[in-house]
Formats: sequence, structure tokens, C-alpha cells
Amino acid sequence: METALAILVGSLFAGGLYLLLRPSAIKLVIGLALLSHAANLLLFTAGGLVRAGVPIVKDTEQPTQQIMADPLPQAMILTAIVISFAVLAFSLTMVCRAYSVTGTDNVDAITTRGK
Amino acid sequence: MLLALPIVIPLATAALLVLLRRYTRAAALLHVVGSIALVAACCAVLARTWDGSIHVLRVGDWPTSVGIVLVSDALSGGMLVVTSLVALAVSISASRGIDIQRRRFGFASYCQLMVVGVCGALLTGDLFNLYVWFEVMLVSSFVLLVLGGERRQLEGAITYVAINLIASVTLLVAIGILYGAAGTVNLADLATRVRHGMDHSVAHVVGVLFLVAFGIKAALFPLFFWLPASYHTPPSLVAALFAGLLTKVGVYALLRVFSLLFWSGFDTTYDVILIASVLTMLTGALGAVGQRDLRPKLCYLLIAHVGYMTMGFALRTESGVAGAAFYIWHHMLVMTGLFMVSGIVVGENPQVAEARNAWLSPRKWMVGGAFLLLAMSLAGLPPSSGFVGKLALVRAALEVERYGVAAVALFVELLTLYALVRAWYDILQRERRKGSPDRPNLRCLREPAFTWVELGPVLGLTIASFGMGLVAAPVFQLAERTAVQLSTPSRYIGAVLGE
Repeated sequence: METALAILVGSLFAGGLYLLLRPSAIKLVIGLALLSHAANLLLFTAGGLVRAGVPIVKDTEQPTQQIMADPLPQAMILTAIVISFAVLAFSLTMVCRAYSVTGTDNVDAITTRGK
Repeated sequence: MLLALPIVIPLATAALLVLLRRYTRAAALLHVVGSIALVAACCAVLARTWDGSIHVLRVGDWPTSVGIVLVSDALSGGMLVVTSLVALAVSISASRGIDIQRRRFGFASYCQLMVVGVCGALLTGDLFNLYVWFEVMLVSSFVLLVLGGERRQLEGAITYVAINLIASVTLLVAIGILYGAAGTVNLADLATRVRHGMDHSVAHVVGVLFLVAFGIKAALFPLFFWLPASYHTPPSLVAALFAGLLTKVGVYALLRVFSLLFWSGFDTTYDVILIASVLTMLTGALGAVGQRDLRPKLCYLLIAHVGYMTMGFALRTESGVAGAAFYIWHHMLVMTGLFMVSGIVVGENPQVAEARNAWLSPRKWMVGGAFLLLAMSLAGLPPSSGFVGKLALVRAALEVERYGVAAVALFVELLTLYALVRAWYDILQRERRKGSPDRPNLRCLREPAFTWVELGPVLGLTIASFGMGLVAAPVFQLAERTAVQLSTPSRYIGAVLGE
């Protein structure tokens, strides 16, 4: 399972980087989204993939009686997803605004005009 | 409790400022009051850590292994105070330096939110929490960068947003791999685990990922090209805030994480940092010499002098780290001051008079004088704070017989002086036809072009810089305590993990 996820993470990174290098601004945003998904999946995989019980310990039982899934990576991913969602919303607005101001979707045309 | 105040105060101020954003006068007043309260809180934190002790706050009283801790030591205490001073200076002149449109859109609250992110990043003792504070800081800086929506702002913002998100993803990946290998994100806990029994090759990979992430944020060679592409596009006051805080938080994170996790046994990585620092200094200074326009020139100088800080750290001696810490504090004050002067000289709403004034009014002389003094401080002429910092760094380089590094540091000092004296001449010279936004001229500014509201903070920062140089002993003692704390991580680990 780890191998499959590692390949998935790798392809997401590759796809994200490829889109970042495209001239289109909207593809830049999609590329950034793919990169953050890749990072989240990597965090998830690095936390360890086990079939295990829920990490809730009752008062009556010892915490070591069963294997429990590590809840921390999931909490971290949740935080990272929220952050990347906000950043994505911001970048989309920015690109949209840049398009309406400059009339082009080409990153090179937008960023090198002043030089 | 005290340790939470530098985060809580600006956060509360920002929340109130959102409500008050339509009432620009009240908002401006609240912005200044909130910043003064922040200065007081940061001074209180520094007063407690002044003697070299390390203070820990367990947020929510969770045990260290599961909860987030806030830690303050000499380095973060000093950085907090300088950060709050920079924020105060910007908040005072914001009522004149930022146009009414931007202030109605909540400029002040985004400023405060960025300061929240900076203070949080300085205080946290938890790696994932550091990432979160970085994001708080970044998103606020994105908004500040595009606020106003001018075409050139958007041009700069696309580069800035894209590269900073790549840095954030790299940081997140590094944290993920480290968590997978060590099973914790608490810095002190990680420090013990990396030392005892973590696979060395994994540690190397993670170290390089951290170096890339923090290198982008700190604008190290060859990862700095986003900075000159974006920092000159927003209003100068925003650039002043960025120049004072953002890159330095990157350097701080580099110092903190590398001193705790990757201190001994990572010689190659430190060699890479040293080479990158030297190239940062050289390319930054040469870029500054090549630019005629004022603000791009300042951007390149900002990059050049980031190289000094990482150079001192990469030497890995106590004198080098002390010099680096002193240099960070000095640089935050001076760079903010220089960008604020550029704002005054450019005149955010350029009321460029057609006929030039042959004589300068006393106030204009004061601006010119402040620029010259700040330039002297940045170039490192005595008795400024830059002199003390550079002296310490060059001596540290000579102590470990890195003569080439010391020579480059001195050469870059010369280039800095040349670039800035030329800029000074440009803004005062008589024979310019007409000031333009990028090539400003004090003589072309129509009277009254600016008031004490803008002049006061600049003079304050100049005095602070020279005060740091004239009364260098106590500040340098603090820097030396920083160096001792950073080079013996066991103190930090002991303070956080308790007992």
C-alpha cells in the first residue's frame, strides 16, 4: 500500500511541477493545488498506514491493549487542507483579477511587461 | 501567560480593526495603540529572558509530548522586541503613507495579522505549528501585496505567491518525513531523537528540504529572484514591513531548526549554507550597484545582507552565531527605515512639482540626513549598529581562518556603501529634470510633501540603529547569550521537556 501511495505522491508532484512551468496562470493555480495535495498525501503516508482501532481510550482499559491508529497526522493534514483551501481561493481571485486587469492569462506576459 | 501576549495582543487588535475599518481615524489610532501594547508585551518577554533563561508555556496545559509549547529564549526575545518596534514604526506612519482606499479595505488589520504570524513563528516550539504561523504570515502578506489591485502589484504578486507556496509545500513535506521517521513534531523532542538513533541519511534529506524551504523565505542565493520581482510593487510602507520582518523570520527559522536538529555531523550542509551565503552577498550587492532605481536597489541590498546573517551562522562558532543574531536585529531596524525613507522620497501620491526647488527645506534635509545615516549603518560605518555587527562577523570568519569569506564580506560592505551613496546623491542632486516614481528626487517634491507623522518613525529607527551601535555592549551580551543557547541545544531541550 505504501508503494502505491508513494507512486501516487510522486506523480502528483510531477504533475504539479509540470503545470507550474506552463505559461497559463490558471494552470499555475491548479499546479499549486496538486502540490499541496501531494504534500498532504505524503504526510498521511509518512504517519504510517495500519489497519487499527480508533484512538479513543476508555477509562476502563489500558491504552496498550490494542493497536491504535496515530491521530496526529490526520489532524495535521486537516489543518494543512484548510490552509491550502484558503490559499487556493486567494490565488484564484488573484489570477482572475490579473486577467481582468491585463487581459491575458499568460504568466510571462503578465509578469514581464514592466521590464 | 506572558508568552502568549505577543500573539494575543495583535490578534485582538486585528479583530477590532476589522470592525472599525470604515472609521479611518479611530482605526489609525487603534493601530498605533495596539502596536504600543505589543512593544510593551515584547519588552516584558525580553526582560524575563534577558539573563539567559528559557521560558516555556504549555498551551492549554497539555503535556509537552501531545500539546503545543511556546518557548522564548534570548534570540526570540530580542527578535520580538525588534519586530514590535518595526510594527510600531509602520503603524504610526500608515495614517499618511497609505491611501484612504487601502485603509478602508482593512490595511491595518492585515498588518496586525502579519505581525501575529511573525510573533507566533518566533515563539513556537513545535514544527507543525511553525508551518501554521508561516502560513498566517504569508496569507496576510499576500493580501497586503495586492491590496489596491494596481497592475504592477498583480505582476509582482503572482511570482511571490507561487514561489512562497512552493516553499510552504517543501516545508510541509520535510515535516511529514521527519514525523514519519521520529514520531513527533515537538522541536525539543525531535532534537533528542535525531541525535539518538535516527537514520542519518533521512536526517540529511530532511535537512536539505528545510534548507530549501527556509532559503526561499530568507531569500538566499539562488532562491531569491522572487524578492526583487515583488517587493518594489506595493506601497513603500508595505515593503518596509516586509523587508523588516519576512526574510528575517526565514533566517530565524533556519537558525532555530538547524541549531536544534542538525548541529553536529552535517558539515556538508553547513558548507552549502556558507557558499550560498557568500554568493548571496556578492550577487545581491552587485545587483544593487547595477540598479539605478531606488526601491529595486534597496531590494538587492536586503538580499545581500541576508547573506551576512546566514554566513555567521554557517561558521558554527559562538562568535559567529552571536554576530549573526546581532546582525539580524540591526538589519530589521535599518532596512525598515530605508524603505520608509524611500516611501517619503517617492511620495506615495506623487505630487511632483514641475519647477524644482533650488533650496531644500529643513525637513527635507532631515529626510536626506536620515537616509545617509541609515545607509552608513547598513554599510557598516562606525558608530552605527552595522559596524558592530559586521566587525563581529568578520572577526568570527577570521577566527576559523575563512579568509575568503571575510574578504567577500568586506568587499560587499564597500559595494553597499557605493550603491547607497549613489542613491543618496540621486535623491538630492540638483540637475534632475523631474522626479519619477522610481527615480525620486527630494527637490521635486512639492511642499508640504510629508509631515512629522512620516518623519518621526524614520528618525526613531535611525536613532535606534545608532543607539544599538553606541551602546552595543548590553545588546551584544544578549547576542552572546543567544549564541551559547543555540550552540548548546541541551539547555533548550531541558527547559522544554521539563525537570
